[in-house]
Amino acid sequence: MKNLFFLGLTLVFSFAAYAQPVMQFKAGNDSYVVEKLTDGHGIIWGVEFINNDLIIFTEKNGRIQTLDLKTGQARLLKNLPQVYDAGQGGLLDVAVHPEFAQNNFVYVTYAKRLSAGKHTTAVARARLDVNEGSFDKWEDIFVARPAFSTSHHYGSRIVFDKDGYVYFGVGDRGQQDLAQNLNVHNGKMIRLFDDGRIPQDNPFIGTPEALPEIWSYGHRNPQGLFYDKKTGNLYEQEHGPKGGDEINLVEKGKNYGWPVITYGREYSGGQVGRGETTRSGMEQPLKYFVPSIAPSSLLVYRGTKLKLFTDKFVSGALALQHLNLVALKDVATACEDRLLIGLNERIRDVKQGLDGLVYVSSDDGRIYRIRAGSL
Amino acid sequence: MLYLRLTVLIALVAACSRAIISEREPAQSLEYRSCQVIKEEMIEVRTVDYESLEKNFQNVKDNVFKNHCASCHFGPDAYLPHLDDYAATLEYVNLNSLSTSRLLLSVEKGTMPPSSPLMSREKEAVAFLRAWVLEGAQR
Ligand code: HEC
Repeated sequence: MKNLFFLGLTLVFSFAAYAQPVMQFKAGNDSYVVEKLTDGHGIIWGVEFINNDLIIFTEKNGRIQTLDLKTGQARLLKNLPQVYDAGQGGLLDVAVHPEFAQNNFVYVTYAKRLSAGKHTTAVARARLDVNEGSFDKWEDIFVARPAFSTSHHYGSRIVFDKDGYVYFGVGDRGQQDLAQNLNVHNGKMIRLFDDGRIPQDNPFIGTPEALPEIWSYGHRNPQGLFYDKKTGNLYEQEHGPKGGDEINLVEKGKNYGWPVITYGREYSGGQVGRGETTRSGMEQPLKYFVPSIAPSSLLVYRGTKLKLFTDKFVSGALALQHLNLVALKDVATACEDRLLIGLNERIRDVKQGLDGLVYVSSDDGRIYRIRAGSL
Repeated sequence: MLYLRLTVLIALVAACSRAIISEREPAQSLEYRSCQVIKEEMIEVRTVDYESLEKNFQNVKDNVFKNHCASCHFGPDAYLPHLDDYAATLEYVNLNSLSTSRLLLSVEKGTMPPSSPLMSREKEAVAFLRAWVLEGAQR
């Protein structure tokens, strides 16, 4: 009896107590609080919502956990996919099927070992039994060809559009010129049905030698991807060379220019290719970042709870360690806000929660939530 | 801190803008420009005065486990050991050889928490846990 009473007490207390305020900031007259929700994990690459109270998150080291937003409790899931965790590769993004309540499908992107010393970007799905905390069988719905011995530029975020198509990016894997080649997957955005089948209205279906999964090409290392339900636009953000990180509006069949045109220079200092920034038949970015911020996630915040964020691109910066805000409107020349600088953490993923707040994960193994108001 | 960052930023932006202008003379300057001054303030996490704490389970739980282990070890579905429960925690204490208790080793060898060992950040918390275990892990 005494124990029961005690348990009740701790439940009541832990509800309120687990979210720990770590920072507050002011923009104009509006105050915001940043709360730490969980800590002590590996690099948290992807964060997604299963329902109002449950987050699912991936760690680069291969673990997938859920985070109960009522109690703050993290739970390691069972029957995880086999991933190749080295360099920039590992377990990458996670997405929850729009009809998860009916079919329980969870999708991940990851680095897959294909043969000795060769790896590639792959997408797998499995059904998650939330009560058991366990996946059934993992099934690859896509494996990028070819595989390479390099261990960088895998991409890749994964999103669904309103019709249930799946989109994700495959990085150039360090093979710049192949981004322009339609007979390989690297340097491309891919569009598939949710089970991996290829939609017959994909742009290169009838093009000889072109791979039919391709939706757009000429990408370097796309690590931000967002489907804006409000407008139906698909936005992509990629790590460019120095001074060439980009936000693009991704459209069917278009060429985004890498490595032929770019606003960046090689990190070694030299120019990329012939140093061109425009060419007909190649798309201009909506925005490029000078200096580079190394973006690894992208969101268009359409909520109203955080006024500072409304109708802005929100992206997590790895190298410049902050959360970047820039307005959609006139984005090319718009000013930017840099938040969370004081955390001194590489910001990895950013999502709008079902509660309208913003959730952010970091390479230091933490998930934060930003809310309006003060302590 | 903020001031330092700002100066570094300004220097960076200045350096970049020079490079760009000399190369392609864009119609508009597109480098980083901040919208407004945003004042950030870190919230001090209350530090625990371990000296004044009695060495009992409740204090270990409220100050060490709750702050550093709860996300994984509290609640009915949590990993073993269930550090919110005295009896369950005791199973990881070796009463015949207190200093080799798995509870203590897991922290002192730097394996817990898995990705950000307590040993490397909160020596005082570890010392308090150790003192409690060595005194027999009293309720
Ligand atoms: C990020 C999650 C996480 C955090 C935070 C965490 N642990 Fe663990 N702990 C685990 C996992 C995972 C295991 C292994 C469970 C298994 O293999 O069954 C574990 C196992 C243990 C074990 C059992 C080791 C053994 O020898 O069997 C102890 C003891 C332990 N943790 C203590 C702690 C303490 C004390 C803290 C806080 C200082 C802590 N843990 C924080 C995830 C965590």
